[in-house]
Amino acid sequence: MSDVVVDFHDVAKSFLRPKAKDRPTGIRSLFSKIENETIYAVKNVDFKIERGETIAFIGPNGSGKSTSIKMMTGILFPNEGSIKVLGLSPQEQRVKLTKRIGCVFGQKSNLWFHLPPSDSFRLLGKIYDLDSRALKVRLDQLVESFQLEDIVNTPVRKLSLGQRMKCEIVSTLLHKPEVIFLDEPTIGLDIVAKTQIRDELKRLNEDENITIFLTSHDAGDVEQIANRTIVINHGELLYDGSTQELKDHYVHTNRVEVVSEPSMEEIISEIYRDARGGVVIGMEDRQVDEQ
Amino acid sequence: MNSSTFKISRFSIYSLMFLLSAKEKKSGVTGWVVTGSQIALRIGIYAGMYRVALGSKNDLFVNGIWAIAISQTIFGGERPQLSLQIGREIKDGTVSMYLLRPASYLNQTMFSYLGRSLPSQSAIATFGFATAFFITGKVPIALVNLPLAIVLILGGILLTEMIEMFLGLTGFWTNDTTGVQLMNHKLDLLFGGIIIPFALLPETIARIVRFTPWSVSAAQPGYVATNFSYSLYIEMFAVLLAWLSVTYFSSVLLYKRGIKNLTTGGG
Repeated sequence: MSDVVVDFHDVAKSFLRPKAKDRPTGIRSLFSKIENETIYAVKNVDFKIERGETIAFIGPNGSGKSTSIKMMTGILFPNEGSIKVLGLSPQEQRVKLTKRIGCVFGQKSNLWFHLPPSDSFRLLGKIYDLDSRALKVRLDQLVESFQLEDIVNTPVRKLSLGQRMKCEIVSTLLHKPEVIFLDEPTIGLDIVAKTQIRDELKRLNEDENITIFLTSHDAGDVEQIANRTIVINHGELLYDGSTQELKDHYVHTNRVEVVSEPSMEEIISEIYRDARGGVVIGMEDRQVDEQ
Repeated sequence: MNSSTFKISRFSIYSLMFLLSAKEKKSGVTGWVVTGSQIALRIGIYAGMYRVALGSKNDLFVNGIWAIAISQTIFGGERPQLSLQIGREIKDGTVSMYLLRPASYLNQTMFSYLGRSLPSQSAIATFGFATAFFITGKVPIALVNLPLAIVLILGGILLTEMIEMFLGLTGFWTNDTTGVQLMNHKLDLLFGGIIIPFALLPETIARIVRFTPWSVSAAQPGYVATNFSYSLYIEMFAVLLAWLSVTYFSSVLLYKRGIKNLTTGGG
């Protein structure tokens, strides 16, 4: 029997925006009436997600990804359609829902900037009604798997971006959520931190059957974490299917752009395709290998 | 009861939030002394003005200086003020981080603000009261009345921030809450006993002004503490509770309506 955890049914979200065209400027703008136009951030989007799925929700900036996540977590109210997450209405039953979901916004922090993450974890444990023993057991487990032993008592302001992001993710996992929403969790991170976070998310999905709903502009996140991908643009759903199928049918070329100083023409000594099909770029005093 | 209203069982969350905020804001002895010294200087200037207007050897002068020290403590919360902070959080979407927790946004914001204000308010109280004693050579509050006076002062701090919170929530409908914050500040100056000591107001005006929220929050705790009588105390405490209820429930209503208008940018 299917166990639907997210039912996003025919949802639309619109905003009013002053019309950019024909707006008077200067002193006339003080006396003219502003005319608004309706802009759809999300337009009749419809999908269902089952328990344990790993979903990548992708699209360009302004396509409606974050707006959709904010509606699923009860922050924004849809204008049309209905949303159920874990059988609850995010807008009407937000508090109940927050106890069963986790959410990471890559550009907003859940941690107290001048305090060590351990203090934030203690407060969040209280907010989620965890008794101190349960919190300690869970925290020990997460600190070990995310390798945070050395930094958990260091003020957040002194942590690297990668360390901070790992702490952010831990802070949303303390109460064992059934679904986690991650909005660009690897933004700005180096490849080592990205790999660690991806591995941990995969492990959480496999070991704890946590449903993962992820937005990202990083193809690596999508390929390595998500089994299913939903593509959205201008608020409209363009693709909903397996990530492998998307890759096989729609992604035909890999393009790597290399910018260098001095220019590439001056320093490249040779370019050739190796036995594995990778492209090898030979330079005067070093070699960069791109697959 | 919904998430916007206060549940006693959740008090431990908000008290921990208060303590962590105070810990986060703690800036060391130097910062504490600098904050307190500014108030000492300000009270010194007021003392000069009061001396000219009232003379320096009477109860009006002594009580006026102590009332100023108390009202400065009440106004000594963290900058930017709570109304500006809430207005900014609504505009930049920070409010959404609070909504992802099973706790009330209003309570989280209020308790963390009060916690962040604790270091500066403790500095202002310490230096302000020491300066008032140094200038007047007297403490016009009887020791036996001190606990009751402290309750009224804490109530005054809470009401000041409740008004700020209410004004900040107008940010759901306005571009900037600076305008309403400035208006509130001017009313604080007029009715809060800072420009004109409450005791110097003409009786008919004082009779009206004393029940306004700005006077109840900032001027009356000092006035009642330095002119203590149980009937005056009970009267002001009742008015304080009434204003606290009005501002809190108005804020809850405003929040419930406003949150449906929240527009926060994406990635």
